Amino acid sequence: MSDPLLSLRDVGRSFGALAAVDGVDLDVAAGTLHALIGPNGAGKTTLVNLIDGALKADRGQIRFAGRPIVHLPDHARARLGLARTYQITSIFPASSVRDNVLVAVVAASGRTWRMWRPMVRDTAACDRAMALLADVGLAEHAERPAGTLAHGQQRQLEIAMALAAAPRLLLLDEPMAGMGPEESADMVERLRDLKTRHTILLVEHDMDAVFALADVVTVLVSGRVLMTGAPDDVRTDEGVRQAYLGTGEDAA
Amino acid sequence: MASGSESPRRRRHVALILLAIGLALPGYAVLVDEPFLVTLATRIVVLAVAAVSLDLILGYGGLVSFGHAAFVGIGAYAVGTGFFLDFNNDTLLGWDGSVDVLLIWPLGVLVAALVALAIGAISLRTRGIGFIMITLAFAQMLFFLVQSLRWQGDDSLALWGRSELPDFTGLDLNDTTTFYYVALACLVGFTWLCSRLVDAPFGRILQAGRQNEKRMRALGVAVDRHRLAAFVIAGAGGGLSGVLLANAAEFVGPAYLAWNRSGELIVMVVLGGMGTLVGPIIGAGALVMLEEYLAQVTEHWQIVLGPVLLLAVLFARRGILGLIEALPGDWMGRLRRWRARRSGDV
Ligand SMILES: Nc1ncnc2c1ncn2[C@@H]1O[C@H](COP(=O)(O)OP(=O)(O)OP(=O)(O)O)[C@@H](O)[C@H]1O
Ligand SMILES: [Mg+2]
Repeated sequence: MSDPLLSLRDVGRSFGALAAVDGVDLDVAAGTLHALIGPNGAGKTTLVNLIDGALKADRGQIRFAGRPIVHLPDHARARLGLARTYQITSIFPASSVRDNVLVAVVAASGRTWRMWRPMVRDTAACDRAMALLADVGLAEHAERPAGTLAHGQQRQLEIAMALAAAPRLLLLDEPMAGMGPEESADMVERLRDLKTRHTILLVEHDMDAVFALADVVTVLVSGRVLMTGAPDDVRTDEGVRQAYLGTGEDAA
Repeated sequence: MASGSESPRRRRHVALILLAIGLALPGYAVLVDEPFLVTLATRIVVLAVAAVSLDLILGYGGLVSFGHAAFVGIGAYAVGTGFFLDFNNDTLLGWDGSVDVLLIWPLGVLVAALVALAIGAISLRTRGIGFIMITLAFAQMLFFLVQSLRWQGDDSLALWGRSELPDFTGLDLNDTTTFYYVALACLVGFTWLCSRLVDAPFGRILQAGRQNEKRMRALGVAVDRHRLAAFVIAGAGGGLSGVLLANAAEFVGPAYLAWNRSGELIVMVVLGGMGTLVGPIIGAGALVMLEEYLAQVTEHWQIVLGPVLLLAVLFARRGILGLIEALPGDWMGRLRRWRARRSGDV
């Protein structure tokens, strides 16, 4: 088997006395959708932050596309092909929906120092931005300020922004957080489509979605990997059930 | 917060109206026989250059620089130094013409930009209050430095004229109206440059970084270097304002670099509407006229000015320009239709 696209060895990060991520090993194979689940406070978001570089790891190795990246700042990792969405929506709320994606396209192109021609006159970039928006069903809202979109639409916008760089790995931190059933169903379809073209690490609480989409599932509890396996194995695992029940967490 | 997306059409129209007023003003001053108006307008235009430049870093970059007067001061001191050398029959590093516009103005702008590069490189390691304090500290350092300077035993210098344009232009800056138009040209040119900048990818990245730096980094751009570039361009604009200021007042002194000057520039930007470029021009006009008017009414005008500004900022969050843009009715459309009719379309 070829090397995994992303590989973590003994990665750890503490906040004071709290070991939020505590010696995690994780391999994400290219072309798979790898789900990361675990009860609240398990360290899932922290782990995503360690992977994309928003947080520095205290210890451990992270390799991406065959090279160590643990010493790289977040923006440099992004340039290598890591893109993410956030558990709490993170967009440019005052800018138009189109400009949100346009800025992402321009950032990915590296042409961020152009000082003369208006960004919106870059037709190639604009076409690409509009295509990305059309993909997530937001084309008709392109001119609206992004901050005025409904919550579910903002999550879709984040996905479009993450896709702008044609990333090699998508880190999605609870893309369905705060969504109604209909929006969630939409997002599941979106992810089903995305996984045919992208490698994805998906953090998600919605177990139906996880088991419907994932090729591999890793269960994180108290900063440690409890198990990694096929969705069916994880679903039936007694230890996993205990972990969720033990923290009073409903796995639904 | 001012919308970071496209500059609305209305804003462009406001800019054009301002330009028309600016161009017509000397004529109006002759008409009503108030030559002082030109002097007042010159002061507004000169300070507006500094306010517009500050808007780059404050409005678009989202960083409150509390030391912008330092760059104005540097520009002014460049001109002062040129005159001083000339007076002593000296040259500037062997170059003749230390009172020439073509030599000393670009030099003042350049030195201001270089100092901005140094100050920015250090200050931009901080954010928020830290940035305010450190830019203020640098400006104060420069203030005390120039205060210790002595030209003929005095810490300030009265110029005996204005910088000289090349003969072929046939223009004499000592003519009040000529100087006014040259200053206006500088303001229009610089504002135009800035307006290209802020709509270009560079400016959009800068604004996106103001709105959400974390997101911008995750998209692969650490906005720091863009901010530094904006800071340097802002410094250059401050230098240009200073070069003009020294000429307008025919005076150079440490007061140009005082911290309250930096504060006034911030007030102009915020009062006019930050992140709009046009707003700070309106803010400069409003503040200068307010000071002028209040000074006539009461000698305690500074006590009145504070509350007036406070009210303005409280009730016009997006500044005077924000109020204008929020005016009801499609008066721009009406103007356009009227123009169309006039040109015989209908
Ligand atoms: N910046 C921080 N400073 C201090 N503690 C933190 C910080 N970020 C996270 N933590 C703590 O680390 C632990 C793991 O948090 P994290 O957000 O990674 O969990 P999570 O698995 O994403 O949870 P959730 O499912 O609620 O999103 C929690 O106890 C949290 O309180
Ligand atoms: Mg989380």
